Amino acid sequence: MKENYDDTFLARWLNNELTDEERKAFESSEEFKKYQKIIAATDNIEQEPFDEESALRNIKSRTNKFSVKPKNSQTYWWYGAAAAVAIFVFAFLFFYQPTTLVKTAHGEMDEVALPDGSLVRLNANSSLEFNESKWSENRVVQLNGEAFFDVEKGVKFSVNTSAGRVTVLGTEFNVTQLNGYLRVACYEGRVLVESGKEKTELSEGMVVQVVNDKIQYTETEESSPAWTTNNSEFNNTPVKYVFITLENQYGVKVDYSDLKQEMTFTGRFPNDDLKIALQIISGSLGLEYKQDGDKIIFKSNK
Amino acid sequence: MLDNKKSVCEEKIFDSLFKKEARSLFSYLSYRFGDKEQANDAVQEAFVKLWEKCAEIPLEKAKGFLYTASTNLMTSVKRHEQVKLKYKEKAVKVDSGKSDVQSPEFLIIEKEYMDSLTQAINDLPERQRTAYLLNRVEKKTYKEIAEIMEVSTKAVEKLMHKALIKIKKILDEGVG
Repeated sequence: MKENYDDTFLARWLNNELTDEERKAFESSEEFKKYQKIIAATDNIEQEPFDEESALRNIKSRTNKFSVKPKNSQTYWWYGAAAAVAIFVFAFLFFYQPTTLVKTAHGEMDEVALPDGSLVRLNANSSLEFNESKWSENRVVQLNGEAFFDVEKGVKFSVNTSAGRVTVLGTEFNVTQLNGYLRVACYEGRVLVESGKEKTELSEGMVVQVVNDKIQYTETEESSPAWTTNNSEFNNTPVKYVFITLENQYGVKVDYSDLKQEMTFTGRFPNDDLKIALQIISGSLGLEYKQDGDKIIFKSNK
Repeated sequence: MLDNKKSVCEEKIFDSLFKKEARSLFSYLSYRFGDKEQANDAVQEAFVKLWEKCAEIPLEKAKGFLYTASTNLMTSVKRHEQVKLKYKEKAVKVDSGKSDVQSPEFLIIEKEYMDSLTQAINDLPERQRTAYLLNRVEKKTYKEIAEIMEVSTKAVEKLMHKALIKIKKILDEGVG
């Protein structure tokens, strides 16, 4: 058996990396056919089956930590980060010192540039207020309604709502009083949410929803909230808030007194076609609706 | 590359790490140590450990951790067996390697040949066998194997070359 190859020759042959001369010489050699047969026969060997799904299920059942979000994971706020956060809050009361105020009407959206270049897109029937003169040392806005934030690097940025506070690049998010519904979705960077003793760090793609003191986690694959593309999206949301959204988008009045409070809605509807929106909501919840001018009545169709 | 601000503690990241690494880790362990049930257990064990220590292990270190932890588990059980290789029986079309031949040649790979081949692969030194099977069966590139085995690409090429020489030698001796 003559082996006048270098010590990687056969490896290079397998990768088609031989020079023409090397290849021709090798192919006319006596052992070529043998190597070829070894390789061809090896191709008949099957991959070991590995059941990924059941392995992952086993792992998760053994850790049981997956329902609890990691607390205090020693992650420092990433100070250089830009963060994009959508905050959706139904506020019933709020109190503030008037400064710069931007308001949107039913069915209207607006974009607000803050003094440092951070951008805020305001959804329908919402308001945003901030103090321009103290901005550089105190980046705080007061929000009522829903907004999507794209925050520039800098000092701590806080969004105050009647239902609590969301802090980006900072340390706190306190839900001080929960007389409504709060939803925070993080699209980029990190956000800390603190509610009572619960502490949750949201990172890209995570959503937290607080309804009547109950915290729910979901995920989003989107890079911005649905309403920025003229849709409203819900995930297991009590119908009350779905109808408030409908009212805000279309300037209608919704009567849902016939429905059970616990009913929830998952899905999305367009913000620019009332008829389709009503059909989607009624169809997926098994409801009937009647429209009388700008008044809409939902009834259970049982 | 991997973003180091992402934490393995996040389920989404943990899951994608699992999807990316579990299958390769499993093949590596079963080819190197030969016992696929044990390999499966070790993969799961390593991921459980990773989750428990997720706060201390940055994402870019996670892969190394998985390989080290599972390899330690496998070596601690010390029950090295033969790699049970399954194969399909079929005729294989091969390129004759001669340009003047128009029709493709068919090589009939007999069952006896497959049995001696799988035995020869089993008889390879551990590292040669691992590299050879990862490349030929799992279709990993030399570079990917180098990362898995923590050696240079050149070292993987040498292992591949040696593995082939050795397989041929074992087969020749068996026939002779």
